Amino acid sequence: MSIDLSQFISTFLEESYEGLEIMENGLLNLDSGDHETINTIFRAAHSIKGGAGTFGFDQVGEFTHNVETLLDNLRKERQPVTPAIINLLLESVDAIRALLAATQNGPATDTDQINQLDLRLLQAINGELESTGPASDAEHTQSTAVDETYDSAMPVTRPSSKHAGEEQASPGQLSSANWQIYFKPAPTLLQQGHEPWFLLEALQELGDVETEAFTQDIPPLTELDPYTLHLSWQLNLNADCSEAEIREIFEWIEDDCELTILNNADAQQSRTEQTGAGWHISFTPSKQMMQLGHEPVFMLEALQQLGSASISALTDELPSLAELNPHELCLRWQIELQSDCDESQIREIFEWVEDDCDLQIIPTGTATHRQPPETEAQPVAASSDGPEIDNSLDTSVKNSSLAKNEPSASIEPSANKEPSANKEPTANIEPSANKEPTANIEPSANKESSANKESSANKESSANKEPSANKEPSANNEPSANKEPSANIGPSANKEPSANKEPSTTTEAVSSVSPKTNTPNQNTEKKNSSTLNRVTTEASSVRVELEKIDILVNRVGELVITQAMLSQIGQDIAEIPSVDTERLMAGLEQLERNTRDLQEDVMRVRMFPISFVFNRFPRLVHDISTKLEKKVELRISGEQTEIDKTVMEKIGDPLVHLIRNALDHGLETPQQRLAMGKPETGTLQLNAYHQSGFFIIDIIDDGRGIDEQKVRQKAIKQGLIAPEQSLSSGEIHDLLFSPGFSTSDQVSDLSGRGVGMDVVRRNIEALGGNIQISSEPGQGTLFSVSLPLTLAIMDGQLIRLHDETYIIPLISIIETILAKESDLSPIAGQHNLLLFRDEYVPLISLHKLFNLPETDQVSSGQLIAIVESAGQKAGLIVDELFGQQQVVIKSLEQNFKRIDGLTGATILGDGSVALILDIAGLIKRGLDYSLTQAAHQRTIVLNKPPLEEQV
Amino acid sequence: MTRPDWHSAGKSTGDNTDYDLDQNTEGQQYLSFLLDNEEYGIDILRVQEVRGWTPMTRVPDMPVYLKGVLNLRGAIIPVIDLRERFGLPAVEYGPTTVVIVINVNSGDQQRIMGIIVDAVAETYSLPKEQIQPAPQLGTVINSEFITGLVAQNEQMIVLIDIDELMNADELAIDLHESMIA
Repeated sequence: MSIDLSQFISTFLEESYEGLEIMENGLLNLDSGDHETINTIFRAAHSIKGGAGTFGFDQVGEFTHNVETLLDNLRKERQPVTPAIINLLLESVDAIRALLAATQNGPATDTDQINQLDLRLLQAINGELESTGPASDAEHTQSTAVDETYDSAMPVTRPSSKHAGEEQASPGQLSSANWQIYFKPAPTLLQQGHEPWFLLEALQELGDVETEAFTQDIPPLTELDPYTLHLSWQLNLNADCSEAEIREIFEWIEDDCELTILNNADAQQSRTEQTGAGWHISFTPSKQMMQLGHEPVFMLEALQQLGSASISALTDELPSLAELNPHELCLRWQIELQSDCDESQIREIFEWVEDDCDLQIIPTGTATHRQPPETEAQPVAASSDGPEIDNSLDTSVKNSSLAKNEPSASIEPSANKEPSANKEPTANIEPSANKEPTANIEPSANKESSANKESSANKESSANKEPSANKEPSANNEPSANKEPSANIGPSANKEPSANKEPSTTTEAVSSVSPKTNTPNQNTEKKNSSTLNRVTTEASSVRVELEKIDILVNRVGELVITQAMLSQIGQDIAEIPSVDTERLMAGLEQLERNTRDLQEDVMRVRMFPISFVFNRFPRLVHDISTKLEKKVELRISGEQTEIDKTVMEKIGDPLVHLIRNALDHGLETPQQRLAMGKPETGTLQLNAYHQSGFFIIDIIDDGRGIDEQKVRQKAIKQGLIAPEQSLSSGEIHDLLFSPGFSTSDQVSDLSGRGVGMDVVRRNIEALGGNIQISSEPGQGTLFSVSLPLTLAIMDGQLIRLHDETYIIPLISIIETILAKESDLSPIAGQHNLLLFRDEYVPLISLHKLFNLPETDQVSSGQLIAIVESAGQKAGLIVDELFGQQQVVIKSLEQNFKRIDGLTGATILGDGSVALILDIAGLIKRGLDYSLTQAAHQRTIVLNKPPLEEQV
Repeated sequence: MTRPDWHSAGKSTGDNTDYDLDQNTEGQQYLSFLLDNEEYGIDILRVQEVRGWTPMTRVPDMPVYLKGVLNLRGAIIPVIDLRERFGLPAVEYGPTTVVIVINVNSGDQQRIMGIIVDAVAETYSLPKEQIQPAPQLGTVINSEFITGLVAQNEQMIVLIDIDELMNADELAIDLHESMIA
């Protein structure tokens, strides 16, 4: 199987970088005892290691292996989490990143540094291994429950929780015992390019293997999908190897299979613990069960009538009181039933809820070693002779499956799923499985599809309840009870349209599942496989090339233009009195609505939460504050606020700069802070939110604020302003954005070179946004960055210049006014200044800049658009204002080139092209033209200069 | 599965044309057009489409021969008047005036641009040996835009190098500018 792996390398790298980010994030938020976070970090490291091995990046793999080992120690609390270790791990994350980058760009890694880090990792691992003792063992056993989430993703199954401590404390330990391996791959394994056969072969290299394949899951030939794997294996390995060696063979697929490795010694031991006859029932209802009108207590009572039942409720799913939803069922039960009833009697009790619960009924009778130790109830139950096989179940099964939250969790490919989330899809399937194609189905099917979009657990609503209520009476007769589960079998049961299909599927399927005893089992099994599929679709996302999305965005842009064109034509037609256009207009209106919706949806595809950018800041702040020896608390809010991907990619660097600035210049040292009566630890806040169609990011520090006098003096010294100029505080703040300006007395490697704030502003404005400062001396500084939500669409003001139409970005326009003679003051004969809100703004003649026939001297009544860019106001002389509209921005560069004074073009409703003005560029150009003559005079003539000559 | 190689169709035997089949073995196909009664040829594989002249949006601060930009199904393309580009007298655009939409290679970027010509004339398959090198003097066109001359039916056809022509002077992508941006 020679597969060209190179095509997957980029995906691997991409995922690895994401993994590194997760690790980094986790490390920064890590408190000791936070198992969830350590597990997350561990998982990320593990995937990187795995991928690196596959693609032959041995260096990455080896290095990551040590990181993983250290993490494993932390995870199992063999080592405490110390700041030193966190720092070491953070450095390792950097090193892995560097190693990964080296695989892309050729060998450029600092091998010495890596080796040194490697050494330190080993030291860290070894240094702590000594202290591993019984204490941590005990601790670990306690923590098993917390570890479950991890386990469910990568089934590092313990024979029983009792042995887990020993077993895992010595993972490398050799054992000469026989191994029992139960291996049930996910049905999709083959599609993912894995070949179980190779795994079995690899096992044989370890020692003698006795292989037995279970074929009970294989469907009838007519339904057989050759790409789906229906087999599972029981392997008895007689080899002198460690569990780790066996695991290694399954390493690539451990997320996609159910793997139980059991040492025979353990298996035997647990077998001796068998109890007398009876049933062990594990009952995990779905959270929605109560909402569906079921009452678990009745079922438990019914059970007690069968025999003596010892019932214990497990409360580990119970959320904290604050999060508790009284309508949700968070309990599950373990019932030991001493009764000689048969399984169907027990199943009968749970008949109404079997779709909404995870039910395992295991006889606590005899056991043979034939059966896979951790065989899940589902596969076993799915076989036609359910009870017998159930009888053969080992009690260790019970124990280990008890230790797990629920067996179905181990099938889950996705790691963090809460058991309740697993259930969710099942619950959703149910309403649509309701087979009567009555009116009730329609709404519920719709409901379902909309509910599916949300991943939240609480989505089951009363609308879903109704169909299930309908089900009850009809389910009373046997055939329809059978029918109902088989409706679940339909692979398309998830899909909304299938509601119509269902009846036919159902009748066909019924014939194949007639014996009553089978039905519930089959149902459970099938349900689980559909649960599996569903969860994968729900949790997964699709990687799509950005280019494809851009094409989609463009296409929709075209559609918007076409729609505008049609609307125009429609309006023209509507003016013809004799024509009845009512229907046309209604259609056009609907088209407009749909187009807008479509456009919004497509735009949303490009939107990502800003957390992608924010995620790197905790690390940045951590590093910088360490370097500066300042204490900083970073507070981030609104990281889920969404913004266009392109904007997001370009805003990272400016934000980094602003943060560095805030830490370096803004916040004081702990001593200074204490001296000023402030808390020793400074705060840096990052707030992201949407406001009136813009995306705002506030960067707030509670530091010393901006010293306006100092800025002013520096500016005078650097010749940016004249000594006699009086400046408003806004203008002083603007000075910070002047090229080359720096208040820092000495240049550090962090800041002070005077490059930066001007670049920050230029970058932000290039994105069509702006940045504002407000500062309170001694209290702190606020940098507020506002950005457009997307770069593809803009609100524009259409204007007329001579006979041409141009567009001014609405964000740049402060106001449009009619000039009054009294407010105009000529300078050097021809150029005009306009008094606007107690400020003189220069007027720019676009006619002159664009070589259009010029209007005469600006006079009273002339339309002037006051625009602002980079803190610089100007008045643009325009001939007429047309409407405002959303325009789709088209690049001129794509087929032509950048043109001064224009940011791009758009297509108007009539199909013609209109150019979009670049206000920043125009102000620069327009003032270049006039500045030489006017600048000096203006400074003298006007008491208050309207602009700094920084251009 | 065999897939027709469209890109070399012109260079190979050209099974899709019945014109000059016997001479076609090494030839390249050219589309010729008229400018002031002179015939010019461009590589036909660069021609995306030929469309009638429509009013377009003027771009300020551009040389006169750049007539503006046009909406080509959502893409904004610049259009130049070849007459004016070559210093020929400008004429009123008439019903035969066409815009030839061409693909231009500009460095690693491909640009779609339009050229306004008086009319489209013919397509030719021209073997390499028929093409004579461009003279160093005497034409209104800068000789670096000319790949060669061909005599065809007692008419001289000037073959134009589109990439040279459309990346010269004001039409060039301003690398410096785009780097700053």
